[in-house]
Amino acid sequence: MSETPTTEHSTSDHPEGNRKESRHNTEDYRPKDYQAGADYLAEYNAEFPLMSPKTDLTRWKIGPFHASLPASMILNLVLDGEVISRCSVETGFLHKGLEKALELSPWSSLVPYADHLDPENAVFGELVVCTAVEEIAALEVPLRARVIRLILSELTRISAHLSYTVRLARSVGSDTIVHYVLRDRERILDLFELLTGSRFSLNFLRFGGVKADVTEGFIERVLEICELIKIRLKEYNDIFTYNFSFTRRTYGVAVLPVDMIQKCGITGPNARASGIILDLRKSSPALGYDRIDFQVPIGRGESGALGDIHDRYLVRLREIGQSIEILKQLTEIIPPGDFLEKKLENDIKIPTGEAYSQVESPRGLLGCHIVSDGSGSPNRVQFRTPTISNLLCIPELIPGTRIEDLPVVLASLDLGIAEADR
Amino acid sequence: MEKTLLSQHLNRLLKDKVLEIVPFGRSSLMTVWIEAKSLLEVSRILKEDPELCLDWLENLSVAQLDQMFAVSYFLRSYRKQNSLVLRLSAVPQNMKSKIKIDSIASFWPMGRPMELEAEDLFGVHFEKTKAEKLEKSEKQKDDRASRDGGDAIREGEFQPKLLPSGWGGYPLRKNYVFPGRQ
Amino acid sequence: MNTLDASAKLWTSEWCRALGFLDGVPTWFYFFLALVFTYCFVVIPSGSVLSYLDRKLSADLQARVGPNQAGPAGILQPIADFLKLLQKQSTEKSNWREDVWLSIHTMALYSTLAVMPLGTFALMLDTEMSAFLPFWSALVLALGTMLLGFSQGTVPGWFGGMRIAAQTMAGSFPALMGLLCTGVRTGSFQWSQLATIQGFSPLSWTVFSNPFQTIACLVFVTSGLVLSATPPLDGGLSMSDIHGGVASQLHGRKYSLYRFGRFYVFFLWSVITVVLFLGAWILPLEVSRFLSDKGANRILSILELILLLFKTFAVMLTVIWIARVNPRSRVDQITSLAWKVLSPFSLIALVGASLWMGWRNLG
Repeated sequence: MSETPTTEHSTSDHPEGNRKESRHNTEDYRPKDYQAGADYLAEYNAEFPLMSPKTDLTRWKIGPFHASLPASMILNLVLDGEVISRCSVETGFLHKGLEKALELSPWSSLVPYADHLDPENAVFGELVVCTAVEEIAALEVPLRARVIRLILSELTRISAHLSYTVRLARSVGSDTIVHYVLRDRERILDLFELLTGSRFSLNFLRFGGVKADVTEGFIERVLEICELIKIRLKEYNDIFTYNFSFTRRTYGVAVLPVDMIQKCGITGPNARASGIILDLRKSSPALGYDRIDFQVPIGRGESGALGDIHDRYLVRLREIGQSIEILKQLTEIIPPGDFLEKKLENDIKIPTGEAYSQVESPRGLLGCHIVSDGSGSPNRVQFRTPTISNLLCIPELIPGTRIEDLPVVLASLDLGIAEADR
Repeated sequence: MEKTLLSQHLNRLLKDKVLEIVPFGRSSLMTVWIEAKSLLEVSRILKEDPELCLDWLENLSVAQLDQMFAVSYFLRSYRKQNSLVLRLSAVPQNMKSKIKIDSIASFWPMGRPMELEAEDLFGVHFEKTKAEKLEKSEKQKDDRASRDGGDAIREGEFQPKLLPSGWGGYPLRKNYVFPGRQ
Repeated sequence: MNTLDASAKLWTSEWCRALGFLDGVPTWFYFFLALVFTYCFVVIPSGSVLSYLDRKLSADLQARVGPNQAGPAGILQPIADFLKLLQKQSTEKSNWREDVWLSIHTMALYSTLAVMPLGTFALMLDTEMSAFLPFWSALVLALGTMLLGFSQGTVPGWFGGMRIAAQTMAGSFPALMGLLCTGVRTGSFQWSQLATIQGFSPLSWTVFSNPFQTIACLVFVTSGLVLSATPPLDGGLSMSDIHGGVASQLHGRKYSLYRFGRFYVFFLWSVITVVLFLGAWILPLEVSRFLSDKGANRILSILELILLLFKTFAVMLTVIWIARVNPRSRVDQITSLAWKVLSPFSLIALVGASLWMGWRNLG
């Protein structure tokens, strides 16, 4: 944990952080002294009867199943007309008891379970668990295996950001780009199937390396996919990214100010879109990215407001571009060698100890704290998932936005409820 | 900060509240063991010290080793390159009762959801200080919206309700017996 | 009244005589037959054809295949859909407010079948003000939809109802102004006049007669989309944020009736657009003169109907194409579009068209 996050744009003196006045300000119909979270019952101003037409507050409970929610969760909203005045979030519907299950299972089943922490980014669950166990047991991972792990991570990152695009597009109602993006994502999932035998829950990493070597033709196909996605990114930009309706709906909406990010501990592309430079791939060399040359995309505030929905989307698009660069370099530096130091038996015992490992998953900083007491099962496996911080900021971010922007805001935060509930 | 410098600095700051400073596993992190009753003071000192400036609670983890519950706070800094693990241990009266520890949500609000989860799963109750409770009840008196009916809209809170209400026992404890499996 | 009698007798009685039955029935029966005929042989088939074309063309745009199971290349898909919709049952108890909505909706919408202009001889209501009647039906539809939303008793229903009301109010003014522009050119709002002033070639259509009429046509189409809440301007009925809004509690056959009602207004508006601006049903002069000299009125009306429907489908498919590719706009963006963009342009179009006509008449 060497490099610390810094902010590129300082927090302004504006009371709402760096919610600058942009020409796409969607809030100019509210009175000047509007405070999000305050209570506005119908107040009749006799002097200017038409100036303050405030309605009674409406309470609406959305969930656990709703078209606008990313997964099962309950949102209790208090609405002032069409503007959300207050909000509270309740999750826990997808609690699978993962951590308890891991305590009751042998060590060799740690990796398949960790796959299901976040079904979309399965590799990162495996990676964070394997890294922690290798730290406890002092297992050395050969270089070839490390490069294979990085290739899988970057492919998963591209796939995750593509499905983020799909969710964002569906929430705005744009159904054409959805099919194009999914078609390209299929190519990546085919790659996973070629290498590991399954598309989503890979079950490929092992303590001390990976399960099998890369198959013939895998590296060439990775390079083909890089070229393809590069061309497609331009296509997405033409159709969707700078589409007039889309920009009207996402410029200046739901700006995440820096103080809220630091209060909730948000990491990942959401934080980078608001100007905070924190990427574990650059700051912690243990992950293995130190020999690779790439840039970390940060939000530039092209819409006038830094950290709005469009910025979060653009940061992820640029990350796809950077992942392509990383993949190209990885395919060049992959060395010949072992893919697994020593195949461990099914009933291995990891020595006593503990470790806390972190990886940069597409949603943010994913951490895993493993405590081992020398027996056949772990004593404690605890995941620190990035979505918990994203969920924490919702009750402060949403008040002030319109109810129609709610699905777009929720889709833009990239909430993985499955990993938040474990 | 370098390890030796860090431990010297901590010893200087915290004086008698530190029980011991040990390395965390095999990594370069330091673990600072403290007593449960001095948690709030230590938190305040660690957060407000201009050199340490630990204002990011990355993770809150509760683990059970035999009878003892070890609560670990993984602290980091936004502005400086500091990180350490704050640890305290607590022993409940018997294996079915709750443990009460002070809540650090006033210093690190990002830890509140993790505290709520630990309460559901481990029975470790992180209670707010008297000052916070008073502030919250004052705030609720002014809330006209919560006056009518009083149904459970807790404003501005994120509630991870991992267990359905009325669930007996604390699942992540070692002595937990699954219902139907006596 | 005389025009009514004459046109009604002319149209349906021709067909009845050809088919050899129903001689000597009263006039109102001809009216009834005309309504039924229009609904069954014009509206429903065009709905089916359009739904098939919509699905196939959207699939093409989205790199998919579209329906391809029912019949060769999915041609029989609309029939399969229709049969499926007929047997959908509602799972909830019937709400009396929904039934009120249903009757208002049905009465208002389908009474405009009498007004729909479908050809020289297929005009049942060819009065001086007949062009305004579809506009009225859009308003009544909006009222009915608003009441439907309020009848749900849930938050999405209230929001949907209010939004529909807001959208309708926003869209009515520019629509009316656009309508007036055509009257400026024609001098009357009678369907037959509005149609015959245009010709077969695009240069004689109203939309290209002067630049202000082009503006008026665009404003008319867009404000029609706002009035009838058709995608892409269907923010008031949006699925994702308010769970379907007014229709969130409708199920089964009532829901299909509701959806068909939305399609009907869209269809009606497109027909009106074509009649007002895009050359109506006017065939090339030689063809229509040849056929009417021969007395082959039925063939003439069929050809005119085909031309009209072809142009209508072109308009509708263009709108559907734009809807599929673009995201949905928010309701407040739609209403600000209507108030801040469409209304000024409609006024400019009206003033400009009037000045143009006045100048031409003077000079």
